[in-house]
Amino acid sequence: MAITVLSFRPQKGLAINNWPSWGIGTIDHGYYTHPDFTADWYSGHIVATATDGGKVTDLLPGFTKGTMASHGVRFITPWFDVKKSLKADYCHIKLAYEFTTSQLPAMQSFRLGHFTLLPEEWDINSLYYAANAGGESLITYPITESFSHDAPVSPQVSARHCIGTGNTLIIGDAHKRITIVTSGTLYAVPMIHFTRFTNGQWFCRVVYSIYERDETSIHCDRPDIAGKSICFVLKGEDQGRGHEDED
Amino acid sequence: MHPHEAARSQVPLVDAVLYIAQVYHLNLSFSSIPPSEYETVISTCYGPLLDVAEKYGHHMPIGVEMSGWTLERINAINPQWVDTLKFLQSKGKVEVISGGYNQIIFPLAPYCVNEANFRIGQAVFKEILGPSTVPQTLLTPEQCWSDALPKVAHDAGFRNIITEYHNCAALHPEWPVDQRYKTAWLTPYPDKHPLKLVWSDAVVWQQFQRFVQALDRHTDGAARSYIDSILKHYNNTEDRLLMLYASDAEVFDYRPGKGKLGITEFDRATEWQCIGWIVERLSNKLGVQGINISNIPASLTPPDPLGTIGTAACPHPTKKQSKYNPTRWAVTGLAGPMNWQAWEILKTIHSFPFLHPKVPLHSHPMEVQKDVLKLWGSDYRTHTCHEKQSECKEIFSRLMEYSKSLWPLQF
Repeated sequence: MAITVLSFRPQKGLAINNWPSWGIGTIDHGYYTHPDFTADWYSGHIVATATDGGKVTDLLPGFTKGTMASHGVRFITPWFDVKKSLKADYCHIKLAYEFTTSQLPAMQSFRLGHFTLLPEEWDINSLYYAANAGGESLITYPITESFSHDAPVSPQVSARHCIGTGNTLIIGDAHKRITIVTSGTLYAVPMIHFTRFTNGQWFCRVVYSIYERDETSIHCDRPDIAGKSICFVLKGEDQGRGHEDED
Repeated sequence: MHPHEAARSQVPLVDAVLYIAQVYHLNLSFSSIPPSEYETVISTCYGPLLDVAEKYGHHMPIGVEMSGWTLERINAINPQWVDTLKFLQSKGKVEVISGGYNQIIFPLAPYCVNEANFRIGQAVFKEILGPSTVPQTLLTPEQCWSDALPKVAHDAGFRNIITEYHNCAALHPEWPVDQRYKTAWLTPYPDKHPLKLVWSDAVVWQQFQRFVQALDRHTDGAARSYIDSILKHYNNTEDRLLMLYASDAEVFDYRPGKGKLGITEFDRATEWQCIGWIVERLSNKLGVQGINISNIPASLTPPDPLGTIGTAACPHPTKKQSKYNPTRWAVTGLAGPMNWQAWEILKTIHSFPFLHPKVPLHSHPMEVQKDVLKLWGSDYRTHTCHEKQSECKEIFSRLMEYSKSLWPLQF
């Protein structure tokens, strides 16, 4: 019997639909009833937001018959061209973005590497993330109360927090964990958004940012992405907790 | 009315003590201070700071915090200042506090960089100030916390860590309210000596800065009101510790990016004179006692150690308002490309060809290690002036040349 390693949405910028067993994918509109969350929550896409509120994503059709996601598919947006490739086996995903050209306006934020957790696949009572935060060992933080690192502090400060990772972030629960490693010629930091709803539902997403705005943006108001690349490798492993002493 | 005659508030005559500590952060790496201004900054800010310590340090000792790099620069430009610093420390009027070799955002840098930063910082202090003046206290760089920091600080030999209170306390509603005025134990190694965590207080230091810089500070009302605001922290039932100041020294009689202040009023005291006046006023108050960080009495530290400070929502609480969060040094403005560059250099010199296993950072020449640490400096990531951007490019080129020289075959 064939095992589905990974499914994606060809008409939506190769957005990851479902990575079975590891609980990463897209949550369709209608899953959440809270008015602020009635949207499609994709994985693997780009969201670029300008200071004037304009927004561009790569959730576009680009996949035609005969092309292979693993070889890369080109997406042309008004602000940038990007070649995306997606490779996967049972417990790995490699998602790469190569930017060829860009004509970005002044940016509020430039975020990519969105990874949405599929709630049915995770044990909310043991959800956590871990990062080395500048040290030798991992520091683990249980995810319990709602928070959003990616929320703006003010119109002039686009993000509230990020996680110090040394390029490696782990998200897991009592049964499994996913290690996310970044590489390439663009530097990115992870942020997490977690919301717990009163009806028992919850939403959790990891997102990476290569650019945020604050008052230091007067020196550089947009990221230089042309000719640059970034790659995310996700590795799924069974048994999530108890790795505090690992490097 | 002259400020010296203002502010007549008194605390009640009781047994409890309000310990006052103060730490001035000396930073020639300051993003908007160009190298051409270093001499001016030393004479305008650092000299008067030691004058205050000389005059009032016996009762109100002063913490002088700087990076090893800043100490090297001061020593090269004005070695007499360093001699005075050593003398004042020997008299207990000053305590030298470390900020590592360079000001680096701990959670954003890899372990090998943080380890080198504290280790090399201590070596530089020892070399310039002598073995008896190696700092026991670390000011968390940019007061951006990581729960991984205590272990690395412990390994480097520190006994005390200073970080900002309110941003941490906001994450812990379970903390008792008087935690603000206490110190806390950190136990990165259960079987070794603990570290003492000392709180700085961004509300108090911002009020200090506002008062000293205020144009109306010479008025009787403003002066009395300010001293009263400090004395309100006194509590007649328990000893307390308050850190009066824990921020930049370069913002008094000088404005980074603008330069030395001109005296606009004929009889206006300088800002450093005003600081001297505050320190003198407080030292004369009953129940108030100045203290060095290393001499904080053990009675101010509750026995139970503090657990993890960061939370999932905020793993790296940082100084002052929420706009100061680690994103500022990670991906805003110029920061993203700077961080990529710093990572790239590190990867290159870690894994040059034909040598296996990887060559750790500490095996490279000291000047190379120092250059790597400079490249990771937070001040190359914010309002970096043109001169410092050029300086940063030079360091990067130097490190690129070095990494190329590691290749046995040039191509």
